[in-house]
Amino acid sequence: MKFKQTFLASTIVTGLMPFGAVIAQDGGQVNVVCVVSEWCDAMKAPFEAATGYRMEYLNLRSNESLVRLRAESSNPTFDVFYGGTGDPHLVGFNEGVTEFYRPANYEELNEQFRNAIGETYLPLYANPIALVVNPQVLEDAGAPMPESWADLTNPAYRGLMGMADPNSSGTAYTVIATLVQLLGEEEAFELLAGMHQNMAEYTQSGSGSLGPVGQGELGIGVIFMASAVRDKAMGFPIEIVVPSEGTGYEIGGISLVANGPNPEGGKAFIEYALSVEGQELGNAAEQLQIKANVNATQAEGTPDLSAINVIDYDFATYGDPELQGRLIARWTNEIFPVPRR
Amino acid sequence: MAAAAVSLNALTKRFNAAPPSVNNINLDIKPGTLVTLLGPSGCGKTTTLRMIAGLEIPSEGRIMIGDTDVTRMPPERRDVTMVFQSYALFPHMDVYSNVAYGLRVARRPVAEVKERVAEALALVGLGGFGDRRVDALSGGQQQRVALARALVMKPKVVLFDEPLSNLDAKLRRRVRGEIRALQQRLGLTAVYVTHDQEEALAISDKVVVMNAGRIEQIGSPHDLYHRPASLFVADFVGRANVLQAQWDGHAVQLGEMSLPMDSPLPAGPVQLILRPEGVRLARNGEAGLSGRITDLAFVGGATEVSFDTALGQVEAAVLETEAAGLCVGDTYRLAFDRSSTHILPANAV
Amino acid sequence: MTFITLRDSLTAHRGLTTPVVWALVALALWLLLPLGRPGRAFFPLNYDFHAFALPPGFYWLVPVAAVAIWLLQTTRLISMDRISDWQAALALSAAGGVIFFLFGTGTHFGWGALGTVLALLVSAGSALSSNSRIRGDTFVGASVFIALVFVTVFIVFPLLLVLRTAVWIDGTLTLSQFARTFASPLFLFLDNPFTEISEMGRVTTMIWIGAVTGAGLSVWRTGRIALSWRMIRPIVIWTLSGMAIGWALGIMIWGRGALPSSLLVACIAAPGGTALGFALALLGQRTRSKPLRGMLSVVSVLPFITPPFVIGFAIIFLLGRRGMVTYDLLGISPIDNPLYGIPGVALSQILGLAPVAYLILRGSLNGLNPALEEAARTLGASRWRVFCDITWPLVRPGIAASMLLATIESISDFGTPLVLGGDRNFLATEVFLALTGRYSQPEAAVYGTVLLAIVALVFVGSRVVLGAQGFTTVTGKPASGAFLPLPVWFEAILTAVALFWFVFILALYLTIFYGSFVQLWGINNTLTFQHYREFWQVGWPVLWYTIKLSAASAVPAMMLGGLIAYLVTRHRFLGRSYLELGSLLSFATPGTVMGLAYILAFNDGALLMTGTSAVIVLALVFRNMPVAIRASMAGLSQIDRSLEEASSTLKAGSGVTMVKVLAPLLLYPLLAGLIFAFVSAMTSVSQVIFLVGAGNNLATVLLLSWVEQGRLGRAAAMATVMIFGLLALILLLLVVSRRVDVRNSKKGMK
Repeated sequence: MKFKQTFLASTIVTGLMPFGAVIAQDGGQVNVVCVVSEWCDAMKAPFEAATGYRMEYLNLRSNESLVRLRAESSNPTFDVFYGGTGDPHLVGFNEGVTEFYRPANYEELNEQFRNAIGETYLPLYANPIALVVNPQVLEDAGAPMPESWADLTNPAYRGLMGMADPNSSGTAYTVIATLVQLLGEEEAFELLAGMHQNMAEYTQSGSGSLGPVGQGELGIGVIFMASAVRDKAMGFPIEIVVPSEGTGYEIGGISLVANGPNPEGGKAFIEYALSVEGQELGNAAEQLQIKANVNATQAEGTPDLSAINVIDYDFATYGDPELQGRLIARWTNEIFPVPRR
Repeated sequence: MAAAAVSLNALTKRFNAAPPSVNNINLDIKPGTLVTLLGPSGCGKTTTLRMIAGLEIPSEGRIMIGDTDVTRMPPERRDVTMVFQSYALFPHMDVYSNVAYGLRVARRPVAEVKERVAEALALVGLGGFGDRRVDALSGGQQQRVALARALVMKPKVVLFDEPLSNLDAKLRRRVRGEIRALQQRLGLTAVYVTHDQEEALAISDKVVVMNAGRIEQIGSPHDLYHRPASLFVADFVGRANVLQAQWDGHAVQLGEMSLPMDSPLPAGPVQLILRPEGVRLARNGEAGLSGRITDLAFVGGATEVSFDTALGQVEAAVLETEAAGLCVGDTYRLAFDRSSTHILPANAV
Repeated sequence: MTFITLRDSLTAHRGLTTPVVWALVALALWLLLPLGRPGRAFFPLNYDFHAFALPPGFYWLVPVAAVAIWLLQTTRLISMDRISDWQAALALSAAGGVIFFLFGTGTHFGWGALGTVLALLVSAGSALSSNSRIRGDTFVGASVFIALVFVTVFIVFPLLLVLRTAVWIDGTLTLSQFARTFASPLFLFLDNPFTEISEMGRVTTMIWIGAVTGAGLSVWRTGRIALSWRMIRPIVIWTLSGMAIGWALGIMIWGRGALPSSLLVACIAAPGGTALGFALALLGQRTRSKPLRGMLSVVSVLPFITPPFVIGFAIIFLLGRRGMVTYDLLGISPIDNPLYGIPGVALSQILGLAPVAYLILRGSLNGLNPALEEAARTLGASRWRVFCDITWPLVRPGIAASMLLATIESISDFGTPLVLGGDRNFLATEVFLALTGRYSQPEAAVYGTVLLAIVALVFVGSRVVLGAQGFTTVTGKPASGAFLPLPVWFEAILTAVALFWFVFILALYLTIFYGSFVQLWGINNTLTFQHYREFWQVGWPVLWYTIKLSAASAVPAMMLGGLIAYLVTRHRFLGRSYLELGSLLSFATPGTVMGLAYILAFNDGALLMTGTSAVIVLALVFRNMPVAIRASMAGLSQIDRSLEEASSTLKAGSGVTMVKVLAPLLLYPLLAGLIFAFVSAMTSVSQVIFLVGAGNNLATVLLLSWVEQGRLGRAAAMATVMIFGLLALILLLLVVSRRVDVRNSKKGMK
C-alpha cells in the first residue's frame, strides 16, 4: 500500500520537478538581450562591481532580439536591449516594445549619431559598411583589388563574393538601403544585379561571409566593418576596403525595454554602458565599432568616421518597415532568382 | 450446507467478437475440494480461471468468493492465489524472495515472513533452496517454488493454470500426486485447469468438462467416465466407441445382441457408448458382435485392437494374455461388459 | 501497518475512500497555496493570487466539488457504481473549471492551480478505476489522466496553436498568410522570368507524364479495363498519385525555394543514408573481419553524440572551397566547388543518418532466422541468390522503416542547412528565419504547418506502402545459428564502402580535434591551448548548465516514457490511441516547429513559462520522451505478462508491481532510455533555440553562435569536450548493455 502511494507521489513530484528549477528573479538582477556578446562578457563583472546589480544576458542576433522582445511584450523578461543594428531598436521604439530613456550623459554622446536617430533609442556605437577582401584569393584568381561599389560588378570576381540575404539579415538590408541612397533605386538595383552575378552565396547571418573570406573560401564580403577589423587583428589575411563612392553605416543602439521586470536596474545598466568606462570595456573585448561616447578612447584600429566617406544615412526613412519590406521584396523577386551565367 | 467457497453465477466473457469465450457458466465449489476445469484448448477454461483470479473482468454474471462479491474486484484484493502455466517466477529474485513476495507486499513482520516461507518451502520439499536463483532450478523445482509462492499466502482458493504442462510425463505424474496430497492435507480449496483428462480424473474431487465456452458436465471423475452426459464428454474423457442402437426401455438392441441396462431414456434409437476396456472377445456360446481385426497395437500391458463390424469401427483394449494369437484379418465375436456401457439419446452430440 | 489500519478504519467509518482522500487533498492545496502568480517567478508565493482573492464567486468551485465527492460517499444515496461515476465527473469538472478560469482570465498558473488540478485528476482516476471504467487501480487510473493531460498540454495544445497562428491573424480567420507564403519565392519559385526555359511548362509536362504513368501502371497491374467503380477507383488514385509525384519531381528539378530544397535533400539523403546504413549493417553482421566489426560498433555511435552542424563545419574544412581535400588535394577551383547548397547538406545528412539506419537495419537483420538462409543453401542456392531471394525481401520492412525515419529527420534538420545551405533555403530553417529575420509569427506558423503536413504525409504514405504492418520491431530476438557470409565480391565492395566512410568520418573528427588546438584554423597552425582557456571561461558555465538541465530532463522523460509505454502496452482505456498519437507527434514534429509551438503556448497567459528553465526542461522532456517510450516498450515486450499477473494475485497493486517486478527487469532498457534522452537533450538545437533566455543559454546554441561568428577554434574546443564526454557515456552504456544481454540470455528470458 505504502509503495503505491510513494510511487504515485514520486511520479507527481517528478512531473513537477522542472518547476523547481525555475530561476528566482529578484530586484537585484538585470536581464539583458545582448547582440554583442563579447562586449557583454567584458561588461558583466565590472558592471556588477560598480552597481551591485547582477547581470544576466542572452546573446541573440539583432532581429531575433526584437522578435523575442515583441513576443514577450505583455510580460517582458528583459530590461535592456543592448547592441545590434539600429532598425530593430527603431521598430521596437515605434511599437512601444522599448522606450526612450535619457541618460545623464546624453550630451556626451556623439551629436551626429544622436541627430541621425532622434529620441528613439540611444546610440551605442557606429559601424560602417565595408568590403572585406582576401587579397590572396583575388591574386589567385587574377582579379584586381576592388575599390568601389561599381567595381563589384567586375566579372573577374565571379563566384568569389559573399553577402547576407536581406530576407534574414539586417546587414544586407543596410547595404541595399545605402546603395539606394547613394545611387537612386533603379541604379542601385542594377548594381545589385551585377553583384548578384558574382555572388558565390547569400549567407543567413549578416557577418556570414567574414569567416569564409578569412579562411580563403571567398574573396570579397560585404559586411559591417568592425568585426573585420577585429579578425584582421587576430591574424586573418584580410584587407578592408571602404568603397570610394561612400558607404552607409549603422548606429548600434541600446534601449530600455518597456515595462521590464527591473526598470531601475535597466536604467543603471544603460548609464553604465554609455559611460566612458563602459564604452571602453568594448575596446578590451575587441569591439572595434566607433564608440558613441565622444570622451571614450577609441580602440586602436577603430575606423575613423571622419576619414571615411560616409553618406548621410536617413535612418528614419529607411528604417520604416514598409519601405524596408518593399525593397527586400524587390530584391527577392528581381535579383535573387536571376540565374548566374 | 456450508456456503460454497467459490460460486460462479451466469458467468459470461466476450472478447471482441461473438461467440462468447465463456458462456453462462454456473458453478459452486465446496470448501476443501479440488475442482478441475477440463476441456480442449479454447474451451474457455483458462478464461474462467482468470476471471476467478480477477485477471479478466466478466462481461456478465457474478463471482462470489465465500460471502464476498468479487466480480469487479481487482486481483490484489481477492483472497486467491494462482500457479501459472509458465510459473511466472520473478527472474530477478531468488527462491526465498519469490516465495516471500506476497507476504512482503502485505507488509508482514520479517520474522513471520521468514517462518512462513520456510514452512512453505519445506511443504513442497525445497527446504534449504531459499537462496538459489530461480533460473538455476530444474523445471520440477521451479514448479514447486511457484506452488510454495501460492500456498504461503494461505488463500481461500488456489488456482492452478495447467501447472504441469511444462514437465515431462513421469515428473508430471509424481507432481500431480504431490499437489493432490498437499491439497487434501491442508484442506485447500483449489480450482485446477488442464486439458489432460487423465490428470483431471486422477486428482479431482469434481471435474467440470467445458466445451466452446459452456459446461458440458459436472461430476465426480467416476461419473464422468462411466456416465458421460454427452458424446463430447464420452469422447473427451477416456476413449469411447459410439454405436447406433435401439433402446426398448430395458435393453439395448445391437444387431442380434441384447444388452440389458438401466436408463431413464424413453424407448427409441440411442447411441451406445462402449469403453475399449469393456470390449472383449465373446466366450463360446455367448452372443456377440462379429468383427474383423484391422489393426493391432501393443502398448504395454494391453493390446489395442481395431475391429471392423457391421455397426462400424470398434476399438478394444485386450489384456495381453488374451491377445496372444490374434492376427489382422481374423474374425471374432465381441462381447461388452455392462459396467462400461452407457447410452445417450440418438440426437446427443 | 498502522497506516493501513488507520486508513481502513477511516475508509469504513468516514467514507474516506481513495477518490475522497485525493479530493480533500485538492481542497487542502486549494486553501493553502495561491492559485496563480504575478509574473514568471514561481516563488515567493504571492497570496494576492489566492483563489479567495480572485474574482468573487470562483473560490467555491473546488470546495463544493470536494465536499460533494465526500458526501456522495458517506450518504450513499445512489448505487456504488454510480457514486464513482459522479465522483469522477465532479473531480474532472472542477479541474476543468480551474483550467477554464486560468485561460479565461489569463491568470498565470501557480502552485495552487497545479497541485489542485493534479490531485483532482488522481481523484477522478481512482474513482473510475474503482468501478472498473478503467481497468486497474488508483495508480493506473491516475496515471492515465495525468499522462493524458501532460500530452495534451505539452504536445497537442502547442501544435494546435501553431495551426491557429497560421490561420487566425489579427482576429480573423483567414488563409491569406498561406496564400502569401505559397506565392513567395522563398517558399517555391517556379516561373523564373530570368531564365530561358519555362519551369512551369516543364513541371506541367512532368505532371502529365506522372498522370499517364500512374494510370498506365494501375491498368497494367489489374490487367484489364472495366467500367465499374471498383475498377475506376484505383485508376483515379494511381493517376492522382502519379500527378503528385510528377509535380514533386518537377519542382525539385526546376524549382527553387524552401519546399523543393527540403524535398530534394530528403529524396537524396534518406535513400543515401539508408543504403549506407544497410551496407554497414550487413557488414557488421556478417563480416569475418573482427577489426571491421569493432570499428562499426564504435563509429556508428559518433553521430549521435555530435550536434549536426558540427559535422557540417568540419566538412567545410575538408571539402569546402579551400578544403584540404577539394582544394589542396584535388585542386578544384573554389568557384567550381559545389559543396554549398543541396550537395553539402545532403552529404552531411547522409553521414548523420547512416548510423540511424544502421541501428534499425541491424535490428531487423538480427531478427531474421538464419535457418531460412541455411535452408535455401541446402536447396542449392548460391550465396548471392540467398541474399537476393531470402535476405533482401525479409529485411525490406526494415528498409522502409529506416527510410521513413531518415526522411523525417532530413526534413526536420535545422543545423546543417544553416551551416552548409549556401543560398538555398530550407523549410526547417525558414521557420526560424521567418520568426527571427522577418519578425512574422504567422509566416513561421505557415512554414511549421507545411512541415507538419509533409511529415504526416510521409507517415500516411509509409502506412499505405507497408500496410498495417507499420514499423518493424527494431529489437528482434536473436535466433540461434550463424548467418551466411556474404559473397566474396559483395563483401569486398561493402568493405570498401565502409572503409571509405570510416576514413572520412575519422578525418572529420580529427579536423575538429585538431582545429581546437591551432591558433587560427587554416591560417595560423601554431598549436595552442588558448581555445580551451576561452572555452573554460565562457563556454564551460553554459555547458555545465546544459548538463544539469539535460539530466533534469532525462529523468522525467524516462519515467514518463516508461509510464506511457506501460499504460499503452498493458492496459486498455479510452484515450490510449491518443497517448500513442501524442508520443508520435512529439517524435515526428520537426524541432523548430515544436520550438515555435512552445513559444506560442507558454509565452503568456495561463501557461506562462518562457524565460524560465522550466520550459526548456519540459521541452526536452517531451522531445525525448519517445526514445524512452520505445526503449521501455521493447523491454516490456520481452517480459511475460504472467509475471505481472502473478504479482497481482499475490496482492500487489499495479504500482507495487511496477516498482518491484517491472522496474528491476526493465532496469537496463530504462537506463538506455535515460542515457539516450540525456545525450539527445545535450545535442538538440532546433527546439530550444527559441527558448533560451538570459542566464540559461544552452551549449549547442552557444556553439552555433560561435560558428556563425567565426570563432571556430573555441567552437571546436567545446565540440571536442562534448564529443569526448558523451562518447564516454555511450561506451559505458554499451558495456553495461552487453553485460545485461549475457545475463538475460542466461535467464532464458524470451
